[in-house]
This record gives sequence, structure tokens and C-alpha cells, in this order.
Amino acid sequence: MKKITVVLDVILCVLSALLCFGTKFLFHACGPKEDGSWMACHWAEQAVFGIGLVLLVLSLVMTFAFKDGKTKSGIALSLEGIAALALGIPNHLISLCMMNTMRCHAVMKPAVIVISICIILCGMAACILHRKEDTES
Amino acid sequence: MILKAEKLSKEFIRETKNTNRFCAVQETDFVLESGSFAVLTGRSGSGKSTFLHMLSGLMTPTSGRVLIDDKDIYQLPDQELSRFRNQHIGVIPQGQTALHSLTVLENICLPYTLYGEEAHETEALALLEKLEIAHLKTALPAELSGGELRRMAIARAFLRKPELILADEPTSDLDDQNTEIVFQFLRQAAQDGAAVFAVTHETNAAQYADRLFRMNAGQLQG
Amino acid sequence: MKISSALPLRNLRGNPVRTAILIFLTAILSLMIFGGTLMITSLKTGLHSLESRLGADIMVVPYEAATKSNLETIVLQGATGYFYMDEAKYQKIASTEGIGQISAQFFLASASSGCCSLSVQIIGFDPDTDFTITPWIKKSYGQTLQKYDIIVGNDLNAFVGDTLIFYGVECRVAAKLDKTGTSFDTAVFTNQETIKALIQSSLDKNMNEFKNINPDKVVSCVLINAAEGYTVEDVLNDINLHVKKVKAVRTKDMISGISDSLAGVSDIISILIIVVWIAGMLILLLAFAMSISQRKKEFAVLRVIGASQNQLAGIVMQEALLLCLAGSLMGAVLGLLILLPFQQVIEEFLNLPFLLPSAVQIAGYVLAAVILTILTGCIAVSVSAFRISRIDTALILRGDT
Repeated sequence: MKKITVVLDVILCVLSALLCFGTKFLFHACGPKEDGSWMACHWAEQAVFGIGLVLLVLSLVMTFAFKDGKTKSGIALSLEGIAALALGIPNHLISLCMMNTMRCHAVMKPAVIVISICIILCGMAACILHRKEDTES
Repeated sequence: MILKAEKLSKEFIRETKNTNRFCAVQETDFVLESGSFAVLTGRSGSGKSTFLHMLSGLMTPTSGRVLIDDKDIYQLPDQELSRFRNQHIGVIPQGQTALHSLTVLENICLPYTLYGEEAHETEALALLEKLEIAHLKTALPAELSGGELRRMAIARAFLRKPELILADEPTSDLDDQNTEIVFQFLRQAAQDGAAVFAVTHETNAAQYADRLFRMNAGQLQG
Repeated sequence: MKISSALPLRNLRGNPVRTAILIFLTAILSLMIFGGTLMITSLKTGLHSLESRLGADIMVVPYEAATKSNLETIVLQGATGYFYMDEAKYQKIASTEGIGQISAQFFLASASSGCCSLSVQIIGFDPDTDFTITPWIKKSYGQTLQKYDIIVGNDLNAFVGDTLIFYGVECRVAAKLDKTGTSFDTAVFTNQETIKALIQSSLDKNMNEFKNINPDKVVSCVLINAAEGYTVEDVLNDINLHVKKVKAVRTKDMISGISDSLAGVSDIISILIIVVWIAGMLILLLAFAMSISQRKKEFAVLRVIGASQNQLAGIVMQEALLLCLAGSLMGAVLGLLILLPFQQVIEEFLNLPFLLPSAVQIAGYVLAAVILTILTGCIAVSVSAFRISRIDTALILRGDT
């Protein structure tokens, strides 16, 4: 039991880091226009970066700062909610570019969606397992 | 029950001086009745284990028959023979024989649970108690010593109170005290009506046995 | 509970590393089978969609546009561009013998549209004669298009009711088309009237490459279906021979390049699937054989306790079944997670029409991949299962190795 929750915690940290820095550097949105100005998708990228940073800090705190199962379970629950927010950013809360063939639609949006869903699922599992761990001990 | 071996022999294919056949057990007749405890001794490689395996239905003899209550067990189809062995024969094999993914208690209850029957845990625990390994019931075999594993195998063979008990070196890993416990166990089983047959190196086994046999180069000497 | 049905699971849990490796292997196998077949089908669906979207036998364009690449990049690759020819040419073409259906189209590319630096291809059609676009638009929009109404391709991030501005002209999005997997997904469609107004506006703003044209007197291309009793070849040659400064192209020839490279990609994927399948089969065969020979003694012990040969084989088969079920489901889910969200990237990477089949069909492929993977696992393990059921129990028990 113990081992699996540790693995889940670490996976959550990695996913959060991926969401945060991956969106910024790997699967970023469209580049600047020729005149140097940014398109709307850039601000979606910035928002996901910020949210990812919060997720990363929280997941690190959950993994390393607390030993108590209840606290860990609570933080895991908050991770789910924040990841759901990240999920909604591209094209729903902040609109992306004109064509779905552009980078922000083709690359950034699906990547953010997949990672957010993974965080939500892992967060759910971590939330339940930490809670169980707490009641067991 | 009566266990009868008629003209039982076993040859293996193996290169020897003149021929490629090696005779492990020469034609042997043997009878064992309920309530008696027979002990077979002999040098390593003399054919003791081969003989025991043939009696247990695990090794088809080259010639001859094994009859249990006049039933030729090697004429039974595999499924029936397996079920028969499960219900009527308790075999204690050589070496470590635990299933590593099951706990000690689950290992012991296997003869029942294998066919979906009730586990009979109370009986199993009583046996563990007698063999002084009750505290290990939830342990996994990997955590046990050689002697403890041996005792587990013995408990497993005894659980169904089989009418025929065949033990192959049941005390090889045990200290004197435990060896004594095991032989008393076998003795007691015979007194309770089982036919017991043990292959052993233990010299003091003779004092528990009703009959003593010796295997010499594949020849059974009574 | 019958221990012989719990035992396979216990055995798998008892050795998590071995189990994880085997699940990983089967997951790869199922991912390849599922992902590969879905890719091939999507490419085929895309090509089919493109064929039906082109919908005409012959396309006639001004000669300078027919330097084939120009036309092809617009129609097939989603580049933007426009060219015009005199309407008189249209009349001349229309008088050719053997024409069944004929309709003109008008092209324009937007300058940067709204937020984005990319321009959008605008295609205008004549509602009275059109036979290629209307049948397909009808599925999404039942009414007649009014002036300044546009219909947007599925890949445009605009929705019904939105207003898009082209050359200062406000256009209302009347409908959004279903995905076609082709370059038409990023195009905007409108009627003759609207596009002529847009062309005029682009000329007024001095943003059109062409300076001296009268929007009412030009067309961009002419689409033709041969009449019954005439071959496409006849009509094509006739036009090329008799109408000057135009080029008639068979649409089939335009697609042939695409269908060739599609066949190539499909072949590569098919070979990959077969290679991975054979390799997976062999690896599983070995892995099961090793995993089971390591536990020979345990199986011998089960025999001693009274398990039948069939029971042993059953335990081994069930272990494989559980592994393959878990692995194949994981592989299929992984495949869905890669192919569904990232289809656009794949489309761009392959540069071929790519259209995912319906959800039901995809579910069918998942099921097929899972079944095939389990079947593969079962075949791979059957050798081991047979061997373990025939083990020489006595021999294994003798040597304590």
C-alpha cells in the first residue's frame, strides 16, 4: 500500500512539472507574429504555465512536507480541482487561434488536456489511497 | 486400504556400460496395509525415491502395476488419478515445496481449496500448533527457514487425513527434536489407521517403524 | 473461493516486476495493433472524404495556375491562393460537347484574419449550378445562404453566429461543416454574390494581387462532370484543344499522388504491425516459457497435492489471460490518448488527408486489438501450458534445484 502511494505522489509531481514547463518549452502555443506581437493562444499558454506552477508546488509539498495521510489526501483533492481548471483553459476559458491546424490547437491543447486528465485521475487515486492509509493507521 | 505393488520396475534411458537403459528399480512386489508404518532406507541413487513416486501415481512404471484396494491406479485417466491422489494420498516430497505466492496457512489448506472445498482452517491451525509453526501462518514462504518449510509440507500432507501417506526424506532439514516429532506424527497416523511409507536416511527411524526395508541398487530387500 | 482460480492472480501479484514487464509488452503489442489499424483506416477515410469532396471529373483552371503545384497546393494541401480567368472562357468551356454538369468557383485568400497571421482560403460557388459543395453543405445547413453568410470548415475556430471580417466586410457564420480530414477543413465557403463583394473590397483596398479585374467578369475555376455517353478523356482533351489559356485537369490524377503516398504509408504501417506482432509473439513465448520454467517446482507440487494436468494448464492460461487483458486495455487506452487528441499533429506530419472513423468504429478497433492481443498471448502461452501439464513431476521433485 505504502509503496503505491509514494509512487503516485511522485507521478503527480512529474505530471505537474510537465504541465508547467512542458507547456512553456515543449508543446508551447503559436510563436509571435511577424511584427512581434502575440496571438491569443500565448496568454492561454501563460495561464497554463501559472496553474502548472501552483500544481507543482502543491504536489511537492504533498509529497515531501507532510506525513499525515489526511493532509496529503486533502492536497490531492485540491490538485484535482486545479487540474480541472487547467483542462478548461485552452479554447474554453481563453480562446486559441483561428485554425485548428495551428500549433496551439494541434499540439498545446491536446497535451494540456491529456496531462490534466492524468493529474485528475492520479489525484483521485492518491486522495482515496491516502485517506485509506490514514484510517488504517 | 491395501497398497499393492506387483512386479513393479522402472528403467530410465541413460547411457551405461553395455546398454542405454538404466534400471532404477528392479521388478519388485510390495504390500502395505492400513495401520502399518514402513520405512525404506538405502544409499543415495539406489532407487528409493523412484519407488515412492511410482507408488504415489506420479511416475508411470516401465512394467508392473500399483493397486490401491485392487484398483490399478495407472489405468485411471489423469483427472481421476489426480483427484484420487488429492483425496486419499498425502505425499511429502523432497526439498522445498512451497507455493511462493501463498501464505503458510493457504499453502497448507491447498489440498482442500484446490478443488474449491472449504479450507478447514481450524484443522490446519491445530496441525501448525503441533508442528510449532502456528505463529507463521500469515507469513510468506520466502520468510521461512528450511526446517519450517519442511514442517509446512508435512502439515499440508496430513491435512486431509489421507489413508496413504508417502514421505520422501521428511526430516532431511530438521534437528533431532523436530525429527522425533515428525516420526511420532507418522507413527500416530499409522495408529489412526493410515498406511504410512517413509523413505529416510535417519537411522533411528527404525524404532518407530513396523517394517523396515532396504533398497540396494534397485532391489528392495525386506 | 476456489484457490485454482485465485492462484493465477496471486502468482501475478507475487512477482510484480515480472508482471509489470509482461503487461508492458502486451500493452505495446495492443498499442501497435490498435494504433496502426486506426491510422490506416483514418488515412483511407480521409482519402475517400477528399474524393467525394472534389466531386467532379474535371477541373479547369487558368493556364498559369495549372502549373500543377499551384492548384494542388490549394486543393490538396490547404495553402491559400487565388487566380482568375475571363468569364468568356467559362462560356466557351460550357459549350464543349459532352458536358453533363458544369459550375464555376471563385477563390480568394483572406489577408490576416482577426487574431491570426495565417490567411484563410475563401471559396465561392454558384448556388444555381453547383454540384460539388452544396450536397455536402446541406448536411450542416439546410437553408439557402444569404449575402454575407459564410460556412466555415471544421478546423476554423469560429462558431455559428460569429462574425468574421474579410477585407473590412463583416460576414456571419451560418454553419460549420463536419470534419473532412482534408484542406477544406480550414476553408470558408460562400455564395457567388458574397465572394464577388469580397473580391471587390480587396481590390478597393488595394490588397489583391490582381489589379485590373472586374469581379463580375471573372471565375477562378470550372468544375465539370462528363455527360453520359462521353468519357472524361474526350471532354478533357476537347477543352484543352479548343479553349486557349486554360488547363483542364482530371481530378483523379490530382489525387493519384496522394493515394500513392497513402498506399506507401499504409504498407509501412502494415509491415510494422506484422513485425511487432511476430516479435511480440516470440518475446511473449519466451517470457512465458521462462516464467513458467522458473516455477516448475511449484507446478510439480500442485501435481503432488492432486492438481490434474488440465488444472495446471488452466492456471498458466489464466495467468496469461489476465496479463494480456490488462496489457491490451492499457495499450488501447494509450492509443486513444495519443491518436485522438493529437490527430492534427499526425495529419500535418503525414501531410495526407486524415479523418478518424466514427466512435462506434473506433470502439470496434479497440475490441479487435484487445481480442487479438489476448489471442496472441494465449497462443504464446499454450506451448508453455502444454509443457507444464506434461511435466515429469517426479523428476522435478528429485533435484532440489
